[in-house]
Amino acid sequence: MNSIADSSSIYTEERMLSQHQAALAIIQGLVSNPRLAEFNWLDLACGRGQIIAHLDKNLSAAARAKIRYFGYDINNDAIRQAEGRAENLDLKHHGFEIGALAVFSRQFPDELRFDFITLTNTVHEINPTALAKTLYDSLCRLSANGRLFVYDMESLPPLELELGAIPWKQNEVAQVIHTFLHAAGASEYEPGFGQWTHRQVNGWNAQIQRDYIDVTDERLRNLEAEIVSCTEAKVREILEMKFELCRRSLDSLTRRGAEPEEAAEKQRLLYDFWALYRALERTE
Amino acid sequence: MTRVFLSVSEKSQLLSKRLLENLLSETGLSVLEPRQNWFAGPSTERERLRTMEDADLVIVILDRDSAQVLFEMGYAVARRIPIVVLVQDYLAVPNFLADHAVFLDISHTTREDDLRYVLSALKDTLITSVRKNHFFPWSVKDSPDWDREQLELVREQIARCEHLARPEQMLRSDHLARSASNLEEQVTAWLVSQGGEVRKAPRSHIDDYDLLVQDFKGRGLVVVQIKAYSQKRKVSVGQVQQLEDAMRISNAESGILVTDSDFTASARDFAANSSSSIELLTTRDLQAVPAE
Repeated sequence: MNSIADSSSIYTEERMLSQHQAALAIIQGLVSNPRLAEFNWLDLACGRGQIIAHLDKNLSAAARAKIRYFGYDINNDAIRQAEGRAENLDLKHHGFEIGALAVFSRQFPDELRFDFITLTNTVHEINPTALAKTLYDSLCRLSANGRLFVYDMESLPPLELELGAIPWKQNEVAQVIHTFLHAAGASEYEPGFGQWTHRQVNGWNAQIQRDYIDVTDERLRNLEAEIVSCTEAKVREILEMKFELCRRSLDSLTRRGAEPEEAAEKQRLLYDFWALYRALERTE
Repeated sequence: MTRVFLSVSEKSQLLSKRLLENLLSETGLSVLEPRQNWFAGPSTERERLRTMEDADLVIVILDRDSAQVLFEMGYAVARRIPIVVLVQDYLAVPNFLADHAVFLDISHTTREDDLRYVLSALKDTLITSVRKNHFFPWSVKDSPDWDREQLELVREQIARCEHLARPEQMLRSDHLARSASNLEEQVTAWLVSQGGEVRKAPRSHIDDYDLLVQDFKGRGLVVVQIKAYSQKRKVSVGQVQQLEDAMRISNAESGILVTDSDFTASARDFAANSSSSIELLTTRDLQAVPAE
């Protein structure tokens, strides 16, 4: 979702990824509320529309008719495909915007709030300098009862490494989000974090719910600089720690050589090294 | 030629296909009937069981979708046909089955290295069985493509099993040596014998470490990772890096990584040059340290 050329939006017709299924299950529960007439959903880094591809199998026509879907991605071609999928879903509204994640909030009218924001399979592609601001903008864009659902992998599969990508582990993301909430004055709130075991790699998810953060919109706006700055500092601290571990591993491999079981690891470390070096250079 | 009956669920088709393509042709085994029809009726199943009776060995891939596979395994047990079970999905194997088969846990392998790991582990196992029990018409000497180190390893395994009379017992011994849970018990017992107070990792940290220890050799909190690997696969530098990361997450004073295999040179180098207290131990090291 920045400028990682190796990145590719996945779309498989026959398969529903579990993280997308989880997001749809949450939406399913929320839109089934008979008192709810409208549901604003922002799908950040929507790609080719993988998450909405199976919407008709998970939501009734009446439930879909409540949804105002907003897709956002940097890739124009991907968005065109997602738009084609949305057109056949009989949604109340669908609209798409193109742009970088760091500036997504500028693309929507000030008064527009979302009941659900999804950010799946993307955090590893976000420029770490934009991570704090993306979190902040997402929180500010949530409606009073809105929630943010984030999912990503803890590492990339060996054959799908992306030059410049930084995968985050669950505990690292948890530290970033705790710092963020603390700076926002909501340190008593413990958002939900989950760890997902897949066949090749592990994943994690986080859910942040706006009404659990007892801070007014105005106060959030006033605290923007402090929240973003504290969160950025935590991001940098974690990046430095990851970089140091990576550098020392490569140093050992340089001195002693890689044995057969370390061939794939060496490649991953080299990818990590470059991504972390690049990220730290940008956060200076 | 040794005849193999392959029993797999639909879920493990891919692994089964790769086994057929790579392992079996390489080791000179012939497959009696690779499963083609996953929704076979009773007559097909009877035919499969008849075919199994001609097998010298049954290879089972056990996963969470193994109802029919377990049935075929039960049949093989009843007919006293040797069984090798490749365990997936971290399934716990019932004790009574351990008496009838050799188990290789391949759950922790990733897709990329599945084959390499399974190949080496299975080769070792087959050879051990062959040498002692004459299940197969070939021996260590008949495998010229193996290097000296591999042959030494096989000989070592055979020597370890020399005192066992029955094939089932030998296979069980092999299974127990490889079992991850068994290694965890062994490590726990050792830590306790050294005066440590041992707790299992909470579910939320199960990927970071296996055990937490207090009061071990006068240290504060210690995180312990256990790697039960085939003797062909060593613990890598990345795994020692993960241990150091787990120490940081847990605010632990030191970390211990124990394996039934060995460590790569880079892994040892990483630990030696770390400013954190990291100890790398093999099961041989545990045996060498007496209880306090």
